[in-house]
Amino acid sequence: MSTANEAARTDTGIPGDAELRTEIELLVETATGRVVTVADLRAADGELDRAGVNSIGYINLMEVLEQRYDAVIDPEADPEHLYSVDSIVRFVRARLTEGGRA
Amino acid sequence: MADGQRLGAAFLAACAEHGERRAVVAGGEELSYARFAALVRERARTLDALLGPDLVNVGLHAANSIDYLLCYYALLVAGRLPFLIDATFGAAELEGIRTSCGVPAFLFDGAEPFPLGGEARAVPDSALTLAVPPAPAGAPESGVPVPGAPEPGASTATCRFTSGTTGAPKCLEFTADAVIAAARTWAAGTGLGPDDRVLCLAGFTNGLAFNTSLLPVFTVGAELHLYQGLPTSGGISRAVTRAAATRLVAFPLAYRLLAAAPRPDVGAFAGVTRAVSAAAVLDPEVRRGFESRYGVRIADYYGIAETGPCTYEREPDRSEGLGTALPGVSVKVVELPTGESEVRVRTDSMAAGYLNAPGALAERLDPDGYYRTGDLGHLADGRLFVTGRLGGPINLAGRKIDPAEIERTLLALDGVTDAAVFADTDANGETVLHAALAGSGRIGRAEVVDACRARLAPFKVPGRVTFLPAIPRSTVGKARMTELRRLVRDTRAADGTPQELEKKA
Repeated sequence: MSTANEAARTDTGIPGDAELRTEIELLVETATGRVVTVADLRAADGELDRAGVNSIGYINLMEVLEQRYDAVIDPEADPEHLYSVDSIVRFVRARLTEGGRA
Repeated sequence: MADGQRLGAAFLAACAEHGERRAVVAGGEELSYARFAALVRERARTLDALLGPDLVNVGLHAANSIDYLLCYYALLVAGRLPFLIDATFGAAELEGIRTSCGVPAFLFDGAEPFPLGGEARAVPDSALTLAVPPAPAGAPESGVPVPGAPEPGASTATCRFTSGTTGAPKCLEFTADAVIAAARTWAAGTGLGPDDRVLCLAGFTNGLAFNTSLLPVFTVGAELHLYQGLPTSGGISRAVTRAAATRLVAFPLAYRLLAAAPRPDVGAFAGVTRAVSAAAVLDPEVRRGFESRYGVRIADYYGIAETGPCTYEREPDRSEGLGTALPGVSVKVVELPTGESEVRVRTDSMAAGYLNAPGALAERLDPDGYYRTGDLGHLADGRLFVTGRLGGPINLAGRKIDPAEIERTLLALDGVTDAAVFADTDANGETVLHAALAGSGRIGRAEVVDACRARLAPFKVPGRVTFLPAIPRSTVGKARMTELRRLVRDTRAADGTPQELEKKA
């Protein structure tokens, strides 16, 4: 079944939610040096703090989000964007849509 | 005049000397030295009125900002004793500080409620808020420290914290002379001058910022630029550009990010003459990567929370070791009965003692007054090389953590009968805390992380958790680390994660 976001990918090249979520989960795993696994993240309902992501993990994650999606998150001004996998997906999607990134 | 007021007076004298020069910049706001001094005096009057006569010991629990600087220096000018507290500390650490150090009032970032609750009073013209948590049982009224709390020394001007084993971070007392000596030592030994623009990425509670930035920059009339938020390579590059920085003060992690950035803004670093790294080991590959990419030399500096700055590499063509002793610092290496060589230092900026562990600092001094650092190393041509640790705290990206503090928290969990916390390495080569647990209850990694998050600062939460049938210990109860690491490795290889204690018991 095709979702609106998957349709968006067809038109714009922007990944659908499921694909983007998987990407972000893997990025979190990599950013934490595989200390927080995708399974750990899912067990914590995608909430990064609850999964045990520490400040170095957050820094690595912000670095890769900026490099990969041009998505600059200011954790002081907008801490909610880094709250969970869902919130990161929303932020990155908004950034990709705004930037017209393929 | 209280010793803290003498330190405040030294700061105000520097402001008077440097007048209209720019002193500090953060978040689009900047102050000249003259304006800085005027606002500190005004803030001192405000805090005096808010704190009244009884609230002398005041915790400063906030991130770096101009507001922070105003409050720190205002507390000194107002004759109060500031306690610089890591902004990530949670309720457990704060309660430990309140009760074991007798700190009845805290200035904190007011966006969230203060973790210990209590009455919160807005500080006029400030984003910080004053909290006076409820008095513990037995204390006569709110704001009065716990009966029996230790009295700081009469000449204590500022208190900072290092890792403790009992749930309360250990509180270091510094005299005004020690803080001023650290600032002068740093400025003289590293050539810090009035034309420098220093971009500081470290929190003021950390020795890296305390010793290189908080006072030294102002004593010479330089500019201090504050980095706010978590650093990324792009964020650092943008901040360096905005500040037109001549010096960068950062942890090794920041240099790793910059060395690996896929789209580096090399031009941003054109005016940087010196990049200072400390608090953790700098990977030689990161050093080479950063220096070749940006054309800026990284100068390693060696300092200890208890002693202040110790060594610095002044020669630009040296890329190994931690440099030579700073002015007023003596370094020696002593061979121990085990055959290992321990680094010992004596400085003019030593702490006077631990407020909440009387006598413990004196025990760390050898008969000649040198501090036993616990670092292994050697001297070659006067240059210090640190090669390892005798034990003691884990260094996690510049923050010192005593495993015993985390083990206490873990042992309080239902079903956990034994716990050992040690430093491990993640897939990126970064140090990570690993907790090995034994017991009979049904508990998983998520519950362990949750419980630690509720009681400890986030950086003390173990990232890796492994469940074992038992922790291997010696006859005197010490964890046998070689065997423990082997067991952990075998268990993780066999089972993966998450595991549960019930399955292992």
